[in-house]
Amino acid sequence: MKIRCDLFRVLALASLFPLFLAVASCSNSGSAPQPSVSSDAGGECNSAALDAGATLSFGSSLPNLEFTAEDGNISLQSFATSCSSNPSLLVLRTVAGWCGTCRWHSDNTSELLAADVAFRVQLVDLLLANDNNQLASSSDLPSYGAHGDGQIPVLADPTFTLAPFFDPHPALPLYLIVDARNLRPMLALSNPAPDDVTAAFRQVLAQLDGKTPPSAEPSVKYDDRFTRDQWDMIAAMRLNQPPPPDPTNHVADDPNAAALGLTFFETPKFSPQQVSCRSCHNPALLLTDGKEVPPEGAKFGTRNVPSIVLAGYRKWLSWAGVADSLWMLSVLPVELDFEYASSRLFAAHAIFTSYRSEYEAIFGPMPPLDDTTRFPPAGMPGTPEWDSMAAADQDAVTRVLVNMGKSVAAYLRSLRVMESPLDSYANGDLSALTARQKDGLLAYFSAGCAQCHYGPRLADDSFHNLRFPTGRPDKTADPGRSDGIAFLIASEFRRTGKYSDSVPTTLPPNPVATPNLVGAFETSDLRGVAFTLPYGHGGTYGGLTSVIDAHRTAGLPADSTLTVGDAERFLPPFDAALEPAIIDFLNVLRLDMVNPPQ
Amino acid sequence: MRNNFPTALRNLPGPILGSVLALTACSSGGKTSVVPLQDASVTVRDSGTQDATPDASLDKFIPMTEGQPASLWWDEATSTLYIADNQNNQVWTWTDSAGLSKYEATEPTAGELDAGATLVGQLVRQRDGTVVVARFGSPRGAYAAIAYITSNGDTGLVPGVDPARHHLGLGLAPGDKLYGSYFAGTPGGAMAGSVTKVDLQTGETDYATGFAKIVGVLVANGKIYVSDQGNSSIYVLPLDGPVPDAGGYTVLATFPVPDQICAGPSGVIFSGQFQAAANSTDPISVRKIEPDGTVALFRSDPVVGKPSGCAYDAVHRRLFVADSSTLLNGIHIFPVP
Repeated sequence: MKIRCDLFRVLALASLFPLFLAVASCSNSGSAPQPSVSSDAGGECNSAALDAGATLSFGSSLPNLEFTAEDGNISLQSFATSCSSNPSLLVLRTVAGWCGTCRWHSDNTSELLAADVAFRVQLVDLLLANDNNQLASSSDLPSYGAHGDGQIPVLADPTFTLAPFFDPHPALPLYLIVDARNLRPMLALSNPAPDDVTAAFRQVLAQLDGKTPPSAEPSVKYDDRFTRDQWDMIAAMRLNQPPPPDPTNHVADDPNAAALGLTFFETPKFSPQQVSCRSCHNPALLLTDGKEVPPEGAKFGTRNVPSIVLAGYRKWLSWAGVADSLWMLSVLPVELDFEYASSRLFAAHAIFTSYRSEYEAIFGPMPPLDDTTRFPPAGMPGTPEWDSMAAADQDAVTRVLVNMGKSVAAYLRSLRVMESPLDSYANGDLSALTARQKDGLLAYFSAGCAQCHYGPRLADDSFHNLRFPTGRPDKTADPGRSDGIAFLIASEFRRTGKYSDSVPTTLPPNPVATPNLVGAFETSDLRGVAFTLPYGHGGTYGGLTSVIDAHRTAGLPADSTLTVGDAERFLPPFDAALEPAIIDFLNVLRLDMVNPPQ
Repeated sequence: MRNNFPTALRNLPGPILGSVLALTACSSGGKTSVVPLQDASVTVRDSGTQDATPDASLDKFIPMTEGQPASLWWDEATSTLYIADNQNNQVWTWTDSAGLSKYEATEPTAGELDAGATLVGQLVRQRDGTVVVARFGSPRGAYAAIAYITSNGDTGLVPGVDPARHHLGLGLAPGDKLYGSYFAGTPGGAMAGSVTKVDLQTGETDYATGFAKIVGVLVANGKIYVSDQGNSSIYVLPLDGPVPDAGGYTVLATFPVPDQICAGPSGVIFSGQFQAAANSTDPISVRKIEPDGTVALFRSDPVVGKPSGCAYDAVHRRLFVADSSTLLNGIHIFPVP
């Protein structure tokens, strides 16, 4: 199907009407302007177009589009109502699993559907991508469908079928309000305020009824600024819970393991090059190294060192998500040539020599590593020393390495941070933020930041291509997540593997490197962001000004060889004038550890 | 900002936003133009005490498509900028008329190039034309050196320099005397560093000890300035002693992560910054240190990305700053008021 964008109609309806709504939302007069729905856009009842070659525009009915449901394809026509029936609306809401604003809308659908319109609105969610930003498939639909009351149909739309109705880089969620009788699009909204959604339903229905649209009700503002969705998302930013349980690590919350983990975190004994976790994760710098890319390892690294203060809360670890558990992340550096440049045998011997009693008190007897015939001093898979060992001995040594990682994970999970002004504000102390900081928080929402940066860490646990520059010394582009998935799938240390302490009976499907994940990297936590420069996976942005501006302009231009892949489509441009205010807010996000290592 | 301003922008249509963005982009352009040709035959004069208005036309950027600039030296006599390059121990020159040119490569230490570790520190040019470069070596502690290139192109290494001690600071005193510095990790994990006297033929000897991570040495105003990143301080030492006992040095200024330093007009010192400072929201910046120790941000992100070495041209009142960030790999030229 060839889709043509009717630019004039998009500008006239999709753009102007939201502007009117925006004006209305700034007015407390209660006499808001009425939406500009053209007279030929409704009021007739023709058969819905079934021509698959029809264009997508406001001037004509939608073609009989097909979307993927859990049990096969479903056509748009199946949502159409009888031509003779009373006017009603089909609302196609485009969402993504990673999208915080989408989740709010889906979780609060019943609230958006006020009683006077609910019985005349059929809402359908079109899922673009799943939580991990893999393009959506039928297997992703149940999890997104769990948002809200589970009554809203969810269909997969990985190709963003309705794109012609919206700006090229719109903020999610997107609403396309359609006359259900003839599938004629009436109105498009991008990340609307909740009140605007309800008002739009009422006004379009009035238009179809041939009645005067009702006056919009004055919008409710929380703390004189925030809309309902924003207020709820602020409340959800409070960080007041410990990390979620990790059943794959049986010592995840064992204080003794955490104490040993701190020792392992700091010791250079696992590396012939005297590298330790602490070499790059400096407590004075919120467990970063403050540098563009780390020089502290055995070789120069190629990606910026992220803070791991809140690593216990993360679903994916590392920029490319090469680890799906904190203990896996803690295991990997040992054998990477640019980090410890060591081996599991070397590390196991170091534990046997220096920490045996502490280790055995938690994990039981170590293998007889003093038998260097069975257990050579160094070696890992692929080396002759390792490959000549008995399989049982290999497994025993690998378990020592894994237990080292689980101890370090227990330590990192034990880190706690002090309450920040944002936490106090989210907990109801309206004086915790200054007016300037609140304006900054509002600018943060207005710029679309909350689409990905939400929740207690202000992050979505997902991956996006922002077209930021590489950190590789040879300046070649870094494929990021697409390579990370390959690494993860091949690893024996996955949480679904034999070294996990809780392997599900039914293994989840492997992550898939869909095309949008080439050049994608994990969304950064924003807690402590102002104190953890430089930014980006290559560490190329030396301050908040440059990195926010890079978000605003979607990173490097298409012809740059410093990056690869297409920029995240749902990275909305915003007014550069918002940037100072956003920085005012980000400076609030302190990340002071309660129990930092000394 | 008015409270309702962001709210009004929430649903701005694309065409309106687009025009805002276009205007913004236009207003921030012009950063990457190569410096225009200027008259290189100007007379050297001291303009340090003038209350001059900075010449905005000097605000330029010299991109380096090869190499990675680490440190700079402005040679007043020849109006030439010398640039130490982190890659392959290369030294470059730049003049207003000729632009960038490869000068010479310093002699590597055994095994250094194979290890890919050719990070360099400050460089100076002596009156006889000898260019001297401090070599940091590898981050893990190897291949450090003090290298030199004579005016006839011969290269050499200062004898007796411990390759495990990182060398970054290098200052030139009257009479072509050299002051260097080194630092290295201690068994307890802390850094320990010293200022040294350097003789190209006989080696280096300790001049002042008890510092931490010395990243810059500057001889100016009849003093030695020492940039100690480990102690977040700029110290002042006397030239040719007597040197106070360790710990008794005069502190000129304290601020996070000072880097290489250079002298500006009227006793001012400039410092680069290549890494984040603890517990600070300051962006990466070039800092200006007044003679009374007052510190101000001179240029910050996004104008600079990873500024390290600097050099000042008193004739044109312009500051050169080496920037080795991936996006801004080259030399900034900033007018100095």
